Amino acid sequence: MFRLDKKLIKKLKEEKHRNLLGNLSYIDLYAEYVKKAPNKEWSHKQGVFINSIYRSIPKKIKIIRTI
Amino acid sequence: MNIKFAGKTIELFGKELNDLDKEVIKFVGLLDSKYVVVSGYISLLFGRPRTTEDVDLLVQIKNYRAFALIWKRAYNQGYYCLNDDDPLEAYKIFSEGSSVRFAKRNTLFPNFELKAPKSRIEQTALNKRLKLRFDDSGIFISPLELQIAYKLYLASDKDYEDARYLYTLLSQYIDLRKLKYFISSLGVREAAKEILGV
Repeated sequence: MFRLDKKLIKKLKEEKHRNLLGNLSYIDLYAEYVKKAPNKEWSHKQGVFINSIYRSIPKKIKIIRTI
Repeated sequence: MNIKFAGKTIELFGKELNDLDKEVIKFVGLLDSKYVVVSGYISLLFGRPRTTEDVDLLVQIKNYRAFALIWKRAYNQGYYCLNDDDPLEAYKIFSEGSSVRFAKRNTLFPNFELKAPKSRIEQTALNKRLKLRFDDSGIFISPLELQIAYKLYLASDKDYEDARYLYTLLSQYIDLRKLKYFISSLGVREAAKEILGV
C-alpha cells in the first residue's frame, strides 16, 4: 500500500484541473458547432448517440427492495 | 441552431427528438401539476452529446389526492416507483422533501426524479419556468440563468461542463444581470469567473 503524501495530492489536483480545462475547450468547440448547424443536423447526430445508449438498456431488471 | 426567444417561450423547431426526449415528454404529460425540468437534462435538450440516468423535476403537488392521481396514471402507462410500491409511503417521502423516482417497469434508467420545491431557488425555478417548444410538443424548463448558476453551485466537473456549454451556446440570449444575480445568490462568483469568465 502506498501513501498519498501532500505533494502527490497537490499534483493529482493539478492534473484534475488541467483535465477539466481540456474538457472545457472541447465543450467550446462542440457548442460552436451546434450554434452554426441547423437543428435537424445536430439533433440527428445527438439522437444517434443517445438512442444507441438507451436502446441497449437491459429491459428485464428485477427490482428487489430490502428494508 | 435555430432558436427563438419570445418572452417566456423558447422555440426550437426542427429538432429531431431522441428516445429520451420522447420519454420525458410522455412522462411530464402524466403530471397534472405545475412542474419544471431542472439540471442535467437541460443541457441535453440543447444538444450536449451525453447521457443521463435521471431527469430531475420540481413538481408542485398539493396533497395526497393529487399525488395518487399521478401515481395511477404512471402505473397505467407502465411506470413504477423505485422508492416504494405503496403510494402513501412514497407520498410521505415526497412531502418530507426527498425525491421519489419513477422508471419504466423492469428498468432503472432513465428515471424521473420528482421533488417538491422547498428552497427559494427551487421556487424561483418553478415560478419563472420557460416553455420550450418543439414542432408538436413542449416542456417547461428552468430559466437558463438560474440553471447555469445552479450548475456552478453543484460544482462537479460534469456540472461545470454543462454550465460552460449552455453559456457558450446561448450567450447572446442570456441576461447577464440575472445570471450575476443568481451567481451571487448561490455564492459561486469564483467558479463563475473561472468557468464562464463572468
